[in-house]
Formats: sequence, C-alpha cells, structure tokens
Amino acid sequence: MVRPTILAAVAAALLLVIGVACGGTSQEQTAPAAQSQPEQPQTQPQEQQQAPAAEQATAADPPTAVPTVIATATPSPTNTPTAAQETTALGGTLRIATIPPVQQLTGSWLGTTTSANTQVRPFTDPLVHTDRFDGSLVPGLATSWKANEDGTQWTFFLRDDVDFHGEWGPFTAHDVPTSAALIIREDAIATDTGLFRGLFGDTEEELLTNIVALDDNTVQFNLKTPNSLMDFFAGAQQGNLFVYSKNQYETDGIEQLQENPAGVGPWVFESRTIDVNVKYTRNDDHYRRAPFFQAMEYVLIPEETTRLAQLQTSAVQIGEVSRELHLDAQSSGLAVLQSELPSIQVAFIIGGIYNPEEAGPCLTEEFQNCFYQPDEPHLNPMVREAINRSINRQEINEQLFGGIGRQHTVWGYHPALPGYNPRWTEEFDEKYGFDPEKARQLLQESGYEGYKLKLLLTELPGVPEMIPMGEAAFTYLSNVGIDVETEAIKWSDYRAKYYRPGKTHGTIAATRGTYRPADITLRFYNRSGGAGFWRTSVDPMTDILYDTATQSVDPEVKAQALSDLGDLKFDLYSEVPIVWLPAQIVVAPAAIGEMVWPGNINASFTHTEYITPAAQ
Amino acid sequence: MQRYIIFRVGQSILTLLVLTVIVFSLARLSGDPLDVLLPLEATNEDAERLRAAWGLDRPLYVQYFTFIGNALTGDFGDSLRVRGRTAMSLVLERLPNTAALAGVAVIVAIAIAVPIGVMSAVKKDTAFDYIGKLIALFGQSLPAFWLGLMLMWVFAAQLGWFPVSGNEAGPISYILPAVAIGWFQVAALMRLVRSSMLDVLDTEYVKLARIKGIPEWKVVWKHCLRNAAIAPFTYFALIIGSLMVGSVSIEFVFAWPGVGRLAVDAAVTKDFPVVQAVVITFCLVYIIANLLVDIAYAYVDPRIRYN
Repeated sequence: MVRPTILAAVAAALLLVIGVACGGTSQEQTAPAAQSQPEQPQTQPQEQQQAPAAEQATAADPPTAVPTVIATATPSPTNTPTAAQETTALGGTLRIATIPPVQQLTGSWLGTTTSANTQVRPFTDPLVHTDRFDGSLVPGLATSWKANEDGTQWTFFLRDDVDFHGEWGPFTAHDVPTSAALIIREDAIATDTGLFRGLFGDTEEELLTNIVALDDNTVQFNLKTPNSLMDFFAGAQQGNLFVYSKNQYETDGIEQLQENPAGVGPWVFESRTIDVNVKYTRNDDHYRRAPFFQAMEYVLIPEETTRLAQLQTSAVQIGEVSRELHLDAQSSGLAVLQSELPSIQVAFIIGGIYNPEEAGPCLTEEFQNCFYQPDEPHLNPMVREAINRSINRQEINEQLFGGIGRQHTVWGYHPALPGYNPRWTEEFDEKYGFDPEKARQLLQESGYEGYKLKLLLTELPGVPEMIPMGEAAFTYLSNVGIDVETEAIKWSDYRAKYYRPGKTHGTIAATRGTYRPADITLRFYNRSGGAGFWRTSVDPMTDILYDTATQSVDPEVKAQALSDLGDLKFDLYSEVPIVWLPAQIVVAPAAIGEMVWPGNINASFTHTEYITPAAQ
Repeated sequence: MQRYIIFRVGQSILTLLVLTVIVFSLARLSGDPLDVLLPLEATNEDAERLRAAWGLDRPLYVQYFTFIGNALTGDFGDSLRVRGRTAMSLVLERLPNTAALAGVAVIVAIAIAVPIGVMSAVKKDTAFDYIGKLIALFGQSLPAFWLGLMLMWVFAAQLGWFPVSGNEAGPISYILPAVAIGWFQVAALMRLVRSSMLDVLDTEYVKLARIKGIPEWKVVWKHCLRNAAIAPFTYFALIIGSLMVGSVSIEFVFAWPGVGRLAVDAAVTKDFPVVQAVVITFCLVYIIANLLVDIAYAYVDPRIRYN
C-alpha cells in the first residue's frame, strides 16, 4: 500500500508544481496607463518630415555629411517646428530581437551609454537630438544653445510645448538639473558620472548650484573647467543626460522613477520583464516624430542563432545578428542594413607608453622620464612603424569583416569629423602599407629585432572578430621576427590586470571605439591624466594640444589643435588603426519599409520612431 | 527512524554551510564586478566610489559573515546588474518557469523512456531492443544545447510547429526545450526501466500470472511495471538535480526566463548576489530532494539505517 501512495503523492505534487509554474509566469512591472492626449496639432520639423527615403547604405557609401559637433557660439534659430502636421500610425507592434543589455535599466544613470541608449532613449529624450542621416547634433528638447567665450557657461533654450507621459505635466527647464543630478548619485554607474562630477561637483547640492533653470524654458550649465563639448554631452551620442520628470521624482521617489519612468520620448514606457522584454507604446503626440508603429517590443534573446530563427519565422521584424550569420540571414530572404555613418573603429593599441602618475606631468623636456622603462621597445617610433607595417589590413578586412570595413588612418579620427587631415589618407599606404620586409628592416635598425611582445587576445561586445584579428596579428608579428607571447583574456580581466592599474606597457591588444569627436576618444586613450588609462601618448605636446582642443569653443582653434595632435599620432605611429565599421542590423523586408539610423550613437540601432512598415 | 532523520537533516545543513563558503569564495575569485559593469571611461575614483557603495571594499570575512547573516533571512542582497531588484526576488520570479520546464521535461522523459524501456525488456534481443539501445546511446551522447538548436531549427524555424523561443506562447512553448532537457534523462531512465523489467519478468509471480491466463499486456503493464518502477522512482531525485543543471544551457538557447539563464547572466556580469542566490537555491533544491528520497527510502525499506 505504501508504494502506490508515495507514487501518487509524488505525481500529484509534480502536477501541482507544473500547474502552479505554468500559470506563474513572471510578473510584469506595468507602468500606469499613459493618459490619452487630446488631439493636438502635430508639431514636427518640416525638414525631417520630408526626409528623403533612405537608401540602404552599402559598404562603399561615404559619410553623407560632416556632423556638427562644435558648439554654436551664439544662439541661433533652429529648425523649430512651425507647421501642424498629423501623423498616423501604420503598423501594429514592432518587435525587435536584441541582445540583452549588460544592465537592464530604465534609469540612464544606472548603466553605460549603450544600455541607456537602447532602453531609455525610446521613451525619453536628451536636450540635443542626433540627425538620423548625417549624425549631426540637431535640436531636440533644446531648440538652440550657446556657449560663452571660454566654454565655461552653456545656455540651452528649451521647447515649451512638450509634456511628460502620463500625468506628470509639462517639461520645463527645472527638470534638467534634477535629471543631471541623477547622473552623479553615489550608486550611479553611468558613462558620464565621472565627467559630470568633475564639471559640476561631487554632490547634488553643488551640482544644483551649477546647473540652474533661468526660467521655464532656459537652463544654464556653469562648468568648473572649460569644455567645448557640452552640447555633445547633452545629447545621446555619448551622454547620459536624458530628461526625467522632477515632479515624478519628488512625488514618487527614486524607486518609482526607476520602475515606471515618465519620459518625453516618442515611445511611452509600458512595462519590462527582466531578461524577457521591454514594451513601449506609441506617443501619438510627440513633438519630433510620432512612431509609425502602434507599439514596440524589445525581445531579449541571448543566443544569436535564436534571434536569427525569430527573424526567419517572422516572430520579430528586426534583429541583432552577428556578421558571421549574415549570409544565412540573406539566404533566407532577410536583409542586412547598415548605419549611415561608421559606427565602430577597430585598432590595436600599443599600451602604456609612459607613466605620468609616477613621473609627474609629461609636458616638459623631461618627457623621457615619464616612460615606464627607458628601454621599452615601444617607445621607439621605428618599432611602432614596424608593427604597423607587419599588419595586412586588407586581408583582415576581407577575411574577417567581409570587406565592409573602411580605411582607418589615425585612431580617434574620421574624415567627416573635425580635425581630420586629408594628408593622412594620402600618405597612409606609403607610411602604413603592408610591407613585412620593411618591418624586419626597421626592427633591425632599431636594435629590437626579435624583441618580446605580449599580444592580448580579448573581445568587446559588437566586434566578435577581435579575437581572430588578434590571432591574425600573431602570425603577422611573428612573421617579421617579433617574439610574440599571447594571452587569451576576458575583457574584464584585461581591465583589472592591465589597463585600470596602468600596466599596459609592453602589450598590444585589439580594441574598438565609437564614432565621436576625436577629443572624446583621445581623453581615454592618449591623454596622460584623467581617464587616460592606455597612455599611448608619444609626444609631450599631447596633453597641451588635447587641452586646447577640449577647452576651445572656437571651431577653428579646436580643429587645428585636433589636427596637430592627429599629425603627431600619425607620424609617430602611436596606434595600429585597422578599419572603420558600420553598425549592421538584420530586418525582414516583408515587414519593414525604411530604417535609417546614423550609427554614431552608442547602440546597435536608434531612431526607432522613424522605422516604417513595408507597404502592403 | 527519528535519529536517522535528524542525522540526515544535520548532514544537509553542514553540506549547505560548506557550500556557502565555496560559492562565496568562487564568486570573489572570478573577478571584480566593476570591471564588467563600469563603462570603459570610468575612472579609478568611480570604481572606488561604487566599491564602497556596494560594500565590496570591506574585508572578505566581514562580507562573508554579512552574507551568511542576511542569507539566513532569505536576503542575498541587491542585484548589481538589475538595479533596484533584490537577488532573491529575481530568483523567485524565475523559479516557477524553471520548475515548470523541469516538470514538463520529466513528463517527456517518462512518456518516452517507460514505454521504450518496457518494450525493450519484453522484446529483449530483438530489433526493437536494439533500437531502444540506440536511442539510449543518442540520448546520453547528444549535448543538450546542440539538440536544442537542432530541434529549434527543424520544428520551429523550418516547420513552424512550435515557437522559436520564450514562454509567452503558452503550453506549446514548453515542448521543444522540455524535449531538449528531458532527452538525456530518457536514456538513463529507459535503461533503468529495462533492467528492472528484466528482473521482474523473470520472477515467480509473473510466471504464475501467465499460468493463470492473465492477458500478456496486463501482466506486463500492470503487474510487472508497477514492481519495476521502484528503482526508476528513486532516480527521480537525481533527475531533478540534473534537470536544474541542464536548464542552464537550454534556457539560454531558448531564451527561457528561468533560473538557469539568470545564473548565466549573473555569472557573466559577476553579479555576486544573484550568483550566490541561484547556487544556494539550486543546492537547496538538490539537497532537499535527496533528503526526501533518502527518508522515503528508509521509510519504505526498514533495512536502510545509518549507524
């Protein structure tokens, strides 16, 4: 009698567990239903309403325009909407299969720019918008802006016709200091936390004395040190300054702001289920562009073959799929789209050339004292040239990137960005062209023939080719006689072991960066102080030129300083530039009509409000 | 019996305690979560600020005793990756999805393994038996993640019979991941059923039943199977543990919002609190399942006692 009883009990318990579990799917954290807005005239920039149908970018497409990333010295009228225009949603739910972001968040202060741009940008806006065709900074919540002469005071003039989603009232200048203060919270982990603390103060009180609302439609940023890029940081490209409701923050507190944030974006945040999805609904009344779809859902799928299968079965219309699966995608009738501008630059970084923390500022004739070791081979430009000469960029581009890469001449610089010197393009083949024989000769002449080099094989999200690229470099470098030792290392461990403690000397590693003003990249890689972890500066003028470029709001002075700095980097072979790559996304042509995004924003795709359904 | 139960419970608590030390140590040895979570541009000052805010700057033994003290109340701390959520709330939110998948996988395993196991024993050394052995071989040699991808490719992407991933399509979405997880168990369970059935088929009471003229199907499926089921039943405790572990890769492949996937994401981002909460929960399930089976076994068979 015992056995059947036990078996029956186990079976009953099992069924109960299954029953409960089947009915117990994850609870969604649902935002309060957005108040339906009264029908209002749609105010939309004429220029963007009439934007030409985007052509799918091809590998050969050059950047379409020079992005405007220099501060406007004087306030100027911008393309403020004047005409009332009605928009109609055409599609149902736009479903996008995405890689789950490292940080799943609704608060932009809780994660990197990439995480914020993916999840936050749909439901709320920055002050400065990014043009989807040429990537330039264009009016968003701010209709115009200006900087004072020394770049220590920035004033933004704001729209007066924007309401927060739900019942949180109109957007005003008072929401901006509150939003900025979130970035410097003790628990903030945003890309710009350190920057904002440096520019505006370590505490909320101090920051609120430096970022002030002059009236409901004007906000002023008073910076501790001059900075020519405040409009850039007030945008979404690099920044974390998305607008949240001061009213909601003060009424509901920070927890509720994180759970059910009200924004001013083209999509209204609806709900999120961790590791499953994020849902948005259309903001019918958005000042820039009401979406063409009624709703949008990010379906978070970690395995990329699963994302591809979702696309193939039409369960989603857009998906992030890596390059190695693009042929499979295309063979099943899917299309691969590219961003308008390059998105990612790929290079090898010759790390830790000098150590200013031990030797003091490296701005004098004692520059040599700043080096880690006087006999460090990488201090010798001939060695760095030899490394550059040994790498076959064309082969890497064709074999690993399918030929979509574009020429990259100086790390941090792109021909369409301020400070680029056309000489680098003209002279690149002559100075950097693949020439193993010349590389061997240079090593011999420098006295470092057969020197030991540590090649770190590591990978960053967005460029899975970094590891095979490193393996290819092993062959190239060994081929010219360098004694290469490899170390396969996770990026987080590389960070902990090498570059955070400033011990990258004697190493070379692949890295990737985004398309942004050169001084942003140089701050991280080349400058000796601050966040200059890699410290690849090769000349004492680096810091001087960098500071001039960053602090000058005069576009010409800034561009010249950047150009001079780029000349140093180019002529002294400070890095090993490889290629510029566009962002790519796979779409179902049967469902998607047009998708245009610039690619220069830290995210795989943006501007989802402009995505149109395919014509039926 | 009481002493035996007390002894086994004490043993389980000790096991759990040792596990907390191992889990805590391994989590710390795997690296610094700030190196994963912080933006590239973050300064060392940013790292130190967050380390202090998250309590990671305290001595390890202090962190451990804080962890143990809080864990006793079910508090494993806040997730570092999903801010604003506690680690345990994430685990509890996912546990039903994993339990449901494991439950369906058990049903799949039983539904496939028992008939094949029984028939393999009844038709010993025939073509049917050989096919059964082949199925067992495949079951134990195919990696679950590969099988999952193949099932997805054929039955979801090509034939469109099942959803590709997720659990939002309802009961139908359980089929493919459950088969992928349960397939490995099919092999083991089938072999157990087969060998138990072979033992039972040779007993006197079965011969008597046949002599009495009871129909063969009734002899096999009612009298033999009931007695042969004891050994596979005790195997269930191990199956539960295996299914939990097997769910890690399958939940990842099928984007299943379960504890297994949570564990992977937490491990990748070095989200200590969630890793600790998941592992302790898995271990707890495993220990309790084994404890219950041991006790049930001792209850069923009085000869089983620990001195």
